[in-house]
Amino acid sequence: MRSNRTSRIAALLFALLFAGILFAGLVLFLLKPKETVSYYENRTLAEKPAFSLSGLWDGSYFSEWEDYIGDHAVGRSTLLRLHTQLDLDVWKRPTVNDIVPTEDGKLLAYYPDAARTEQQIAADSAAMAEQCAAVNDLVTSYGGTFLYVAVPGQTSYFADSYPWFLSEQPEQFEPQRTALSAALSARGVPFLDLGDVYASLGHPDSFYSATDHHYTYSGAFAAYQAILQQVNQLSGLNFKVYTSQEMQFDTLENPFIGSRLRKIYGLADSEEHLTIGTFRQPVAFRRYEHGAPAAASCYALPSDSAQEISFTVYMGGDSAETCIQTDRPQLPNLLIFGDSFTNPLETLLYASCNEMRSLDLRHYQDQSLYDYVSAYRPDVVLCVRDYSVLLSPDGNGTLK
Amino acid sequence: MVLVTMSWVLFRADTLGYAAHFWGAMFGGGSGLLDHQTVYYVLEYAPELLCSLVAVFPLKHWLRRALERRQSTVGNLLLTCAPPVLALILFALSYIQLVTGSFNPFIYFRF
Repeated sequence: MRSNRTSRIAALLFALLFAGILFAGLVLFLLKPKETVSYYENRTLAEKPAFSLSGLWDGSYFSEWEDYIGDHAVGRSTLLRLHTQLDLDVWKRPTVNDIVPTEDGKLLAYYPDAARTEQQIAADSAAMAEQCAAVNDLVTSYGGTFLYVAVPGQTSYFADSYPWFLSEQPEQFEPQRTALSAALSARGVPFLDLGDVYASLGHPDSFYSATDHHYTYSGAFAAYQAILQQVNQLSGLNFKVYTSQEMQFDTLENPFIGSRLRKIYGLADSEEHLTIGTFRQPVAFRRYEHGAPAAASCYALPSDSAQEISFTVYMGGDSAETCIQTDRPQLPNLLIFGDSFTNPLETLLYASCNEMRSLDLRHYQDQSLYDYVSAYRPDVVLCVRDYSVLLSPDGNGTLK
Repeated sequence: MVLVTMSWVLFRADTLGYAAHFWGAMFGGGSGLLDHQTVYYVLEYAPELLCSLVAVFPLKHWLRRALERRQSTVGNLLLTCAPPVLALILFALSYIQLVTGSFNPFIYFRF
């Protein structure tokens, strides 16, 4: 039998070790410099909570402490990366950090709770279509043209790449797209589904990123052409639609970190690079950001080719209000609004306009889109939304 | 344990009808015993399920009895050191789980 003395000594030693680890963890937590941003999570980290009686009363003060301690835990980044690596390479989970690594090398999204009931879809699509109809009525009242553009997200575009047991993932957006299309049609709102456009072009893989939720520049260029052709048909305007022969496309050497790749700490192999397009015959312009003069460029390029880049290369990322003026009053004015799918489109659209403005209603808070259009009265208003947010009233889904 | 598992449904359900529906689904009354989601969950949580399969047996009890019967030096050392070492490993795993639970990524930068 083991002696009681040995057992007691061992228990004491381990108790001391345990207490030492707890104490060391606390000291390290207190002493380590606190980061403010988590690059791979794409967000700011929680700040130390400020005490307030109301926070104490409703419990938020302690919740904030929990967030703060969680965000700044010792070894957090290393552990998160290790956890992701284990899930990817050892456990081979089908989803890692809500990303589905597919057999053909794509990184797609996993949406745990995106499905809506038929009743929800009917109600939400009617509400969204009502908003769009109001804007359409406003724009047509002064002789302008409104076009709602639905763009497939990467999830929908690469639906066939999902493993069979996750095939419902991309399908859950289909009823929403169909319902909104019907609701807009019933209200006479012009609607362009880029999914149909891409299908007519043979649905090439090269139109969408394998590691990001957006289209590639090729996909954006095809979208740009289809949109302007549709606008010309609807409005009778004669926007110049540039052909690929009139463009120069350059692939950037920089390593590209797509949004899906970022969520798994860049731990999958990717050879993707971003492409940018410039006009062979440049169109001079001035650019304004929320009224302030900005550099006359459509691309935010890093200083060296080794620096990692993301989709924010296009137009410098999302912006509340961008205005590009080419000073050609004989050409129409165009307003485009939507999420980041608009960014590469903007690098092309401005060349056919006297003035192109872009709004991102997630950031633009000065007034509603409806009021903005009422005051600005552009010849064309484009709404660009991807399949996953067609019925979402958040951000660019609140128009009035 | 089955009753405990079943009772958790009551905390999750908004109505008794929903709870009844949920209990039915737990016994194959939803989409049957096997659908796409089942396959997904089995694959996604395969490591945890395998651990659970092992953990349902009284392994610690069997191992301790075997070591006590053997009366060897290594056996005694294991009997003394293994429980706290395992506790420390569990503590480390719990810490990792807590820390990774704070993972909260966004597609668009969140201020």
